This record gives sequence, C-alpha cells and structure tokens, in this order.
Amino acid sequence: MLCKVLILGAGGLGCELLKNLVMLNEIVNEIHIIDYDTIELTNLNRQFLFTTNDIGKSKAEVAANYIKSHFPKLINEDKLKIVAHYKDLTKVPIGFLSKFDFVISGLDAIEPRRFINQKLVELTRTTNFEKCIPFIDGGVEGLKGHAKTIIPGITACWECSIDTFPLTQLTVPMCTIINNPRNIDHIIEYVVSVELKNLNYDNEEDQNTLLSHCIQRANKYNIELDPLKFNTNYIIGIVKKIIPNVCTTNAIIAGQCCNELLKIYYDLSDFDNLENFTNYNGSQGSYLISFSHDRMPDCVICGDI
Amino acid sequence: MEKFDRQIRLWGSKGQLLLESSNICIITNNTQTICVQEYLKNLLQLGINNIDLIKVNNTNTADDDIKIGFFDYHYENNKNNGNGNSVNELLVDNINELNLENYNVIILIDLIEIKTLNFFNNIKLNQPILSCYSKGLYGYLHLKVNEPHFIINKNLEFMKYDLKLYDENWLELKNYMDSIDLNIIELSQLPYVIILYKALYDLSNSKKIELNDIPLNQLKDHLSKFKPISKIVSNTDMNYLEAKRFAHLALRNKTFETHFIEQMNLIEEINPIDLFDPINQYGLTIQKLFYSYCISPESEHDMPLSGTLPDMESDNRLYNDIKTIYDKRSKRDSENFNNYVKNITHEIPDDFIDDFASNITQTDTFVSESNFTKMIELNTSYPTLILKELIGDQYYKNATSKVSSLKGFNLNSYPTTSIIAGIVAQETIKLITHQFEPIDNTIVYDGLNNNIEIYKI
Repeated sequence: MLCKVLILGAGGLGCELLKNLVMLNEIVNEIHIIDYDTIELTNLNRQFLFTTNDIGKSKAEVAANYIKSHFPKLINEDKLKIVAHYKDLTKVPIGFLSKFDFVISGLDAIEPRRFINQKLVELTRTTNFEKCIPFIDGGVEGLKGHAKTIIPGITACWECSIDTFPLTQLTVPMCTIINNPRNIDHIIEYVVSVELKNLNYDNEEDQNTLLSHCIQRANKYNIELDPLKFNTNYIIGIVKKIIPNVCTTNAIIAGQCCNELLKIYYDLSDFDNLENFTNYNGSQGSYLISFSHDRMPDCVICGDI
Repeated sequence: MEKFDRQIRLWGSKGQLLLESSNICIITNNTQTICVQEYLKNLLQLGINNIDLIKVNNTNTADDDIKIGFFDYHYENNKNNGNGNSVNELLVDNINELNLENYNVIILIDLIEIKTLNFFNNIKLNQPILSCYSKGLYGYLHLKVNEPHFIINKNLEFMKYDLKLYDENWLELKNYMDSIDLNIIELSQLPYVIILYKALYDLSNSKKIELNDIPLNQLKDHLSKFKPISKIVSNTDMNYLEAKRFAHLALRNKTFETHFIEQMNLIEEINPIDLFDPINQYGLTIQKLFYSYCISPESEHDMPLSGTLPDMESDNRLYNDIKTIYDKRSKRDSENFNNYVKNITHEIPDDFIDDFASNITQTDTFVSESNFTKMIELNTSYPTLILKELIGDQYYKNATSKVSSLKGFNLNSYPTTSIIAGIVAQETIKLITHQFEPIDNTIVYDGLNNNIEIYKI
C-alpha cells in the first residue's frame, strides 16, 4: 500500500516536510499541501522552495510547482502526484480529510491545529475506527521545537494536552501597562492596545506614528530608550509577535515528524508504550527528549471514544 | 538583511555578519551524499557563502554509493548568489596538501576512510572539527575542539542577573536604600529589590551573620518574619511573592565566580603565542578579552555588573530610580574594564568590550580534546550499541557483513539524514557566532525511541 499524505502549512516546516515526503516516494505516492498564505521576503531564510521572484504568490502552489518542475520523471510516470490547495484549512470539509492516510502539520497557530484534530477524532468516532488517520504535529520557535504523534481515539489527542499551553500570552497585568510602565514592552503594549488600535504594521507611515507615540510615552514615564535596541524593527517584532525561525530547527523537527510516519508505516512503533510527545532544544547542547502524554479521560474532543 | 530577519532575532546582526564572512570546509569521500547536500542547503539558507567542498580521493568509493538527493546545489548556488561561486568543489589526492588554517570550522561528513580520520586525529588544529554519519533511524555527531572556544551568550532567553545587594562598597545603592523609609512608603508599591535589600541587611545585623554567608532558606524565612514587611503583606501581593521567588538574587552567587575561575584556568593553559594567532578574528578577540580580564585588577575583586535590573512589580518612579543606579554602575564597570583593556591593546572596538563586560555572567568557555581513534576502536567497551553499529557501518562496511540487531537500521530514512544535517548546521552556527553552547562532545540520535543520547568520548 502506498500512502496519501496531507501537509498542513507550506512555511518553513512545510517546505521541509514536502521535501522529505518526496524523497520517501517509495511509500508515498500522493501529497497534498494546503496553505492560505503568500510568500514574503522574510520567509526566504528557511523556505527553500521559494525565490525572490515568488514574493506575493501562494506558498502551496509555488511549493507544488517546484516539485513538479524538479521531479518531472516522478510526476510523468505517475509515481507521485502533488496537489496544492490555496485555501483556509479550517474551511475544508471532513470528506476531504478522510481520503488521506496521514496528516502532518507544520503550522504556527493553535486554532487550525485544534480544528484538524477535532475533525480527525470525529472521523474515527463516526466510522467506528474504520478511518483512523494519524495526525503528526510539528512546531518550532527559535532553536526549540516539538513533534506530537496523535492516533485519534488511541493516543492523547491534541486537545488532551491543551493545558500545557499558557492561558494567555500576556503575562504583565493591565494595571502595569496603564499606570506603571517600567520598560519598552509595557509602553508598546499600551500604545497599540489603547492609543492606536487600527494600525497597519506593514505601512511605513503607521510604523513611524507608532514609533513617535512610543517615544512620547516613554519620555512621560522617564524610561530610558536604548538606541541600539529601540527602533521600528524591534517594535514591529513585539506587536506582530514575530517568532524567530531558522532553517536548521525546521529540518530537525520536520525530519522527526517524517520519521514518525515511517515508523507507523513499517509498524516499528509500539502503540501501547508510544512516547508520543517529543521536545527538542538546541540552544545549550542538543537535546531531544520524548515522553508519553496520556489521554485525558474527560477530554472534550476524544473523551467519549 | 531583511531576508534574514527571523534568524537575526536569534543571534543579532553581528552574529549574522560572522556567518556571512565565515569560511567552511567540508571534507568527504563523496560529495553527492544526502547528508552533504542537505548540509549545503542549510548553509546557503543561513547566508554562509564561502564553502569549500573537498573530496578526498579514495579508490574505495564505489559509484553505487552515490545516492540521488533532493538538491542540486549547483542550481541552489545560482539561485542564491547569482554568480554561482559560493561552493568550491575541490578534489585532493593527498589530504596533507590541504591548507586548513583559513577555515572557521571543519566538517567531516560521511567519511569512510580511517586514514583520513586519523589525519584529523593527529593534526594540531585550532579550529573546531565536527564529524557525522547517519544510517537508518540512527545517526551521530561528534565535536572536537582543541583550543578553548569562547561564548558570549547575550541572546539567551534567560538572563543570569546579579543584583549585587551584598556589595557594601556600592554607596549609591546603599544611600538610596537607606533613604527609603518603610514606614512612610505604600508597601505594595515596593519593588522586590528593596524588600530583599532591607530583609538581607536586617538579617545580617540582627543575627550577626556576614552578608556573604547568609543561606537562602534563612533569607526566605526572614522575609516572612521581618516586621515592617510582614505587617503589610497579605501574602498574595505580587511584589512580595516575587521577593520570595527571586530571593536567591539577593545573595552572592558563588557559581558565577567558580565558573569564571574555571574559564580563567583554561585561559592560562593557552600558549600566549596562540593568543596572537590570527586564524579566527572574532574568537581571538574574545580570547584577548578573557585574557585581559584575568589579569585585570577587577578579577581580584568583584565581577562587573552583568546586564541591568530585571523587570519587577513596582511603582514606576521607584523602579526607575533604582534602574538608573544599576545602569550607572553597569556603565562605570564597563568603562573601567574598557580602560584596562586599552592599556593592553587598542585593537578591540568599544562596543565589543561593553558587550563582554555587561554579559560577563553569560560567558562560557569550552574545550573538548577528544580522540577520534577511541571512537573507531570497536573492540573497546562502547557506551552505546548504536554508536558502535554506526561506526562499524561507516568505516568497516566491507569487513563486517553481519546484520544489525537494531530495529530500523537498514531502513532507508531520508528524514534521519536531514535531521543530522540540520543538527550539524546548528552546531556550525554556534561555533561561528560564539553564542549558544555547542554539544559536549558526542550526540547519538535514536529515531526509533525519539531520543538523543549524549556521551563524552
């Protein structure tokens, strides 16, 4: 049996996942890749299937076309089929998901992962385990990353571990932001959530307005601004919650996700003792540690199967 | 530079410049292996442009060892550079002909000749050497560093703060703290640095204990008993909770000092001639700074103030007052150190000296004088079966034809090779930017159990 795989996201992880799966064409004969995003210049340090000529185009389509043009033999001899979907993955019907043997995600947001997890668990439930599609989820931030293997209805689903995420990204109390700002981050938070709500952070004029408001407020509270650190680039990083990202971590995590696929395919995994959660940290030495996350009996998504 | 924005947020623009100006040497018996191709892809993505890919002529390489990978790096080269000059492919008959002095890092990928490995084992080189191999679901990576490798970890997620509350000679801080009257000030507005200071000195005076000898649990205990503070606190006030949580910052952190002494001992072992050996300008500059610090009068006393005051729950005015005192001290310490360095050498730029002085608790020194031949003596007791099997497959392929007992050893796993090439590239970044700790000194990837094991060989 050859498998059909769906890749969620055609970003840094997505490009790596696609490359690995193409190279596993002995066992994978159809790959779909879905992403609603377009290519930007800052993607090019890691999303190696794209060039500056592709800026503004659909990530999923350019990635698929790269494979088609570089591996014509595989495509023409019907050994491999590549399909791009330039659409919002939280709008795909459940029937679309049901035709895959694996779903691998390389996303950067929580909500779409929850959506897909819920749909895959639902599929297992409604088909009474006839359809049980493994969901392998990769994530990266800087030199760190994770891979989770979810066999819906059998191992912990994505929702079972939702409590491992912080409740909210904002850890500074609002009263500090409003009355007692002590550093640049507090100033920026106030300016974008109170003073200037509807800015377009990609617009240069808006960026300058933002900068001058921040300087004004910092002066008001006698907060010294380090000229080396305090500039538009820094502010945009804070307000857009930009996550540092580097090709090496993507390669490591995407490789880990694809090895999970390989092990399930060749039946090398022991599902009773599956260490389904893997964490990587490369900032001090190089650590890869796995553990088994149990199912939550009262999980709202998979608790009843 | 905008293209590299997402990685510059990790190692700064100085780190990026170091990567772009670095020279990398890859030594292999076969330039077409998947690992070589994947590693090259990573380097080009990072913006590293001077790469020599050296094939050591080896009659043993059979053509059927050549695997077709995903990348044609000649193409990638053109795409990235326009002129296609960044990867120079060289063929050498005799490894002794190579001039290896000009490289920042040397990488041995998929070597199969013990002869070549022995050459790198015996040669005296100052540069770090990484070597790697992968097979099936398994792979390893080994790092050899003969000379101390210096790190300034200024972009770590967690800063190691040193509040220096124990420093009785710091009059500015003392005067300010003395001016704070706990009976007048609204106590919920106090930053924890004041709470800790008051509790620390009260404990020292009342119990007649030297500031430097106060144990952490006693200070924590005192925080709940100490009158002026305990009377206000409902035990849930943020500043009080923070004071308890960060109580260790009030005490002298002896690990900083012991750690630094260890680093200094490493420096002393360096031949002073090597200090002026211009192989790696950046590493050399850090070496000089460490050296200057070791012989400076500061090293006899206290370390310069590292960083500044962390953020803490507080009234804006009180926090700013104290932060100003810390910033002044940090600046003064940096200047003193700067003046001292200037007495020794004028070659080091000011911002460099400042970075060093104000991140002194974040520095690290690293040596790994390993012995490659230890790795390939298969008869000796091996720390792990996986490494033994990998080495056997890498160097003794033709001699041993037995089937490996490891599950998935003969599986064709492109992803594993991609992971190993990713880790080698990540370690290359660390060695070039002098940020983040490298591996010490051998890691073994076990894809069956999703773990990395660490060994010192």
